[in-house]
Amino acid sequence: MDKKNVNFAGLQDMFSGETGKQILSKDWRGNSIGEMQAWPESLVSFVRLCLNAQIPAILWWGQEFVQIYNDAFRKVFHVHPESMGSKGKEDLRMWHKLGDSLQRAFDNGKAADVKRKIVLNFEGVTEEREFIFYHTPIVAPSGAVEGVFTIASETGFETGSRRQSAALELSEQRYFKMTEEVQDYAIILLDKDGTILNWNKGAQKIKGYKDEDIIGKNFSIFYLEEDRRNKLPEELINRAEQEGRAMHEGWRKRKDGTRFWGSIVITALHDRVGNIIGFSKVTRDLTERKLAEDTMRQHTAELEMKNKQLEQFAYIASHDLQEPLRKIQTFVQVLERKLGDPEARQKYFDKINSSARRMTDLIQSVLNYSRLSQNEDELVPTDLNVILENVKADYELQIEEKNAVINSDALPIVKGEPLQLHQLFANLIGNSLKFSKTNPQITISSKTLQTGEIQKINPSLDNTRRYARLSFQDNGIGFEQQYAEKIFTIFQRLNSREEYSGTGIGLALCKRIIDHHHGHIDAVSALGQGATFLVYLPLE
Amino acid sequence: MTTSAQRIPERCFLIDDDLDDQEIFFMALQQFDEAIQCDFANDGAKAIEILKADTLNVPDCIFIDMNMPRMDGIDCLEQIKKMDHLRDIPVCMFSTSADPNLVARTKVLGAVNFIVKPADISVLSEMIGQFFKLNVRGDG
Repeated sequence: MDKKNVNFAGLQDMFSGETGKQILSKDWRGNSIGEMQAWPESLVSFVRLCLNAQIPAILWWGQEFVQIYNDAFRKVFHVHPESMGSKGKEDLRMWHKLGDSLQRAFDNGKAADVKRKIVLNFEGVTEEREFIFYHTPIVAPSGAVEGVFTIASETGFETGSRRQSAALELSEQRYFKMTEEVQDYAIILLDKDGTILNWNKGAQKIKGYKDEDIIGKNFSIFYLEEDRRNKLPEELINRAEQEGRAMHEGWRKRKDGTRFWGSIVITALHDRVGNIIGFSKVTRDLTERKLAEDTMRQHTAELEMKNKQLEQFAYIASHDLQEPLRKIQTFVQVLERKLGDPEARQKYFDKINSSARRMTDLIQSVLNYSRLSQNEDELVPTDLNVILENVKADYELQIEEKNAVINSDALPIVKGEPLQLHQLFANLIGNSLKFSKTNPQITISSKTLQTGEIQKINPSLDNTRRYARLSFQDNGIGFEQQYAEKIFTIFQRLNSREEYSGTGIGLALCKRIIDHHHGHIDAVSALGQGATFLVYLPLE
Repeated sequence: MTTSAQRIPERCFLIDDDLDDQEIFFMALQQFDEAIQCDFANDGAKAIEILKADTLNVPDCIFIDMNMPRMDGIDCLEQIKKMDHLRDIPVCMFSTSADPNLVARTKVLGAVNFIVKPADISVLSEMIGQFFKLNVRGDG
């Protein structure tokens, strides 16, 4: 036992590698080649030889071809751990391929080699690889064949490199497919001068060109005329050349001439020694985001403006509303002092009443002004002839009393809100009646402004539309031209209330109505010469 | 105690388009000192015309309403300060409300005070009195 143990300890040093350990730890009892301590010298020697070999090697021992193999063999052929010491004839995978040749080598004691293709799984890829198996029979001094020693070698170096290049090709193909199939980004390759070399689905989707229309053209074709004039494409290429990459956002042109908001990154591509060999250009279509941002910005600006207007309005309104209220308080105080004087009593009661009435008028006007709808949907084709007839009917009594004459052209149909246009006409005609002491003459005429003409009147209006120019001319008291703008400001009055009643809101309301209609209003006058109000409204 | 009998009565000039406010102002002024004389103008242009014409009979102080049709209080103040014979006359602005920006503007243009019209006549009378004592009589 002691001797065997020593031997066993000796084996431990001799059997190297993973498979060596496996052999040592295996329970060989019951195996046809017996326990390790009882292995013949030749078997131990061949096992050592096998384990020490740096190429895949396997020992088939005895009639049943018991298998003992090395690390390299196990690794290349993915041998199951259970295969160690198992009967070769029962290991179907190998026996199927090598059984005939092994049996022959065993039977006639002659070395032989066979070429076999084996299907292997290598790093997740299943492939067929070809090996040459060199069989060497182990012949005892007695002449009996004890087993076969086999080493395996993959056929030719070229197989490996072909596999590598095939893998590279596959990877390139995948990479190409990856960029080609991406739909959300235009990924294109440019040469040093910006000539387009390839085209993906995203590019076709975003820019509208098919690869045959575009490959070979310069990428500046995507830029707006103005940007090309300013040499933007060249500037971006230069920046990418100098800084490695260039990013930009801006409007770009599709094949059909429509615009999209592109976000681009141009990256310089270098060869091994650092020379620029071209550029990659990745473009994203951010039109929706851009439009949403623009709308939001516009809304914010509008809100800010409206907020400012509201503040101004609140201040002015509070000023004008305070005035009659203060007077009521003052007159009540005066009245208390003069209760005994019937004449004064009547006078101050009247004043209190008139201030209260004025207060009511002001509140009503302020309400009208602030309630004025700004709803775009309410603008409909509106026949101004109908509006004028209705307004004339409203003023029938005053027209008769003042002996007024209203002449008018045939008026156009405009895009408007009928109630507001009624209010506009009523305020303008009402003013003309009010500020004409005797025999008011009001002339309403109409003229069409062709596209492009409105810009001279108000540059912020839509130059692509046609406008109606309505002129309301009267022979009233008029005003100095220097006040022509001021009169549209809320609570601005040019005449004392004693002479001409009013809240100072009428023309401000007209201005607000016109603004809602995307039109323009201004006034021409001279003191004592009558006034002309010019109203510009977009035509249907 | 100063009495009106001991001095030449002062003259003040109010420019205000609102006839009620002219009346209220006069009541408050009288409550302070019955002897003070007061001239009125209904608008800035008329006031400038009157003040320009009479270079000898200059008022002791001028009150100007801020909100008036056509020429407003600020325009009016500017015009007055341009006239040599009026440049040193104390001017008090007079208004229903006080926008801090407008108040500052009138100070820059040379107004010495800004009275926000109170509802109570006695309070107004006191304000006018203060103004007189400080800026006209110089005994505040």
